[in-house]
Amino acid sequence: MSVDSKLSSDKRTLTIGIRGRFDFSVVNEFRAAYESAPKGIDYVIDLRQAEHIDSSALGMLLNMRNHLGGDSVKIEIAHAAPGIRKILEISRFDKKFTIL
Amino acid sequence: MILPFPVVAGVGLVSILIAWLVEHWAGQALVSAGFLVILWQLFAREQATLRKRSRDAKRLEETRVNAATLQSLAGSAEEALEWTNERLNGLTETISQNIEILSHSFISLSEKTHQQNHLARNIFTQVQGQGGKAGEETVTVEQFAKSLDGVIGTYVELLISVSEKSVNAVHRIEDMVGHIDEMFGMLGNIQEIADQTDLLALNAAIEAARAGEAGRGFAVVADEVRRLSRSSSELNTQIKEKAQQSKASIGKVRTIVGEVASLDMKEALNARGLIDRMLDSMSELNNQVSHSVSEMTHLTDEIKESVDASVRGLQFGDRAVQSCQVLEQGLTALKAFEQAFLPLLPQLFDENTNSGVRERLQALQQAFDAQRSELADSRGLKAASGDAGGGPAEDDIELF
Repeated sequence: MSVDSKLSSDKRTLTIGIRGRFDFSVVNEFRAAYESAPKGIDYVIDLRQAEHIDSSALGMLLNMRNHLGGDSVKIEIAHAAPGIRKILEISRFDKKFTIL
Repeated sequence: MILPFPVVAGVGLVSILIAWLVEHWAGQALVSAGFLVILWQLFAREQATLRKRSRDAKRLEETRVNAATLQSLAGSAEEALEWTNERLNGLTETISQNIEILSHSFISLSEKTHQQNHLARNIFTQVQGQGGKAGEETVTVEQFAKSLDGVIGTYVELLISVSEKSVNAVHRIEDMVGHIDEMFGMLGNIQEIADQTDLLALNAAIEAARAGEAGRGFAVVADEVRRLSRSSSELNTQIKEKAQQSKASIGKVRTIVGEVASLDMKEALNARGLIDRMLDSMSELNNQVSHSVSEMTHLTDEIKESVDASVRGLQFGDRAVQSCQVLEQGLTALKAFEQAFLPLLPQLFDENTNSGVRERLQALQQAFDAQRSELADSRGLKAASGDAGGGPAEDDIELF
């Protein structure tokens, strides 16, 4: 499993961790990770162990955001490596997500 | 009147002889001694005269030699004067020609410097993006880079939008696959129903056969039902096959859409980085250019000042030409006097003709004085006209 999701003990935050390549190969796993979770809570995408992302990852993140309520939902992208952070910045993701 | 010595001596000796004829010895001795003294005096005078004559002749000879030397010296002086005059002419010509060349080149240098300054300012305004006339669009490298950045931004946005929609489509395809899988389950149920119907029809046929003649009609119905169940089973199999094919096709579509969604962001990233670096180096270049241009403008101003100073300096060249001309006039006058004076030189030493020389020399002296004061006046006049210009700085510009 290169995608694992964990709900916090207070059930207020869902953390989705990605391991290795964050690309089209995890499209179903990633979708399943957020669709099965409750709505209206905070979400964290942990990229600590992600090595590489491509545009499909950005598409997946945007689909996640749309699915969970668009502008009203708060999604954090945490622990991104410098290269990944740069891609997120040039894609202007800092306006739609909270990049930590 | 002085008589020649032999006559005096002869007369003296005759006188002594006459005296000897006198009887008294004392008178004879006295008279003889007196005559001897007279004779000795006469002899001494004659000797002195002879010596004086020889001295005079010697002096005259010396004077002649001196006159000849003086004449030859005067000739050399004339030659030297001629030579000096020629050189002076050459010098004047050289100075005036070179001054003309110099002043032309300085003026051209000044113009070129001005043009250079103008060009430098142009470059500066162009680089700063402030150039161009009103209403005319000038594109600077900075603007170009910014617009390129905008294009890349749009490209990245498009890329992400495509990915977003593709991923969305994949999700819908996944949903569809789920639906097809559900359909397979349903088709399985239908098969089961068909199988049970077939079994039921078989039982009905058996029951009909047991009923004999009365069950004959029922046996036909049972047979018909069995046939129907079989064809529905066949149809079911066909639907299953088609659904299977659809699923395979959808799988292919999913792969294609997945490829569309998965684009490498590296190039966009690199392009962005390049543009950032380009903008950075552009602004650095801008700074350098503006610094260099201002330095260059400063230098050009300094060059202009130097050129102006040089042009002012050429004024002195002009004065040198004027001085040369005055010098030339002086030399011409000197030559005229020399030519007037030279014929007088031999006459000065000739005892026979030297009576009118003094008057002619005096006339020459007066003429020379007049010429000298004239020359002095002309020089003073030039200086006065120079001063009338109101200072050397204004004068320079008028002169060139």
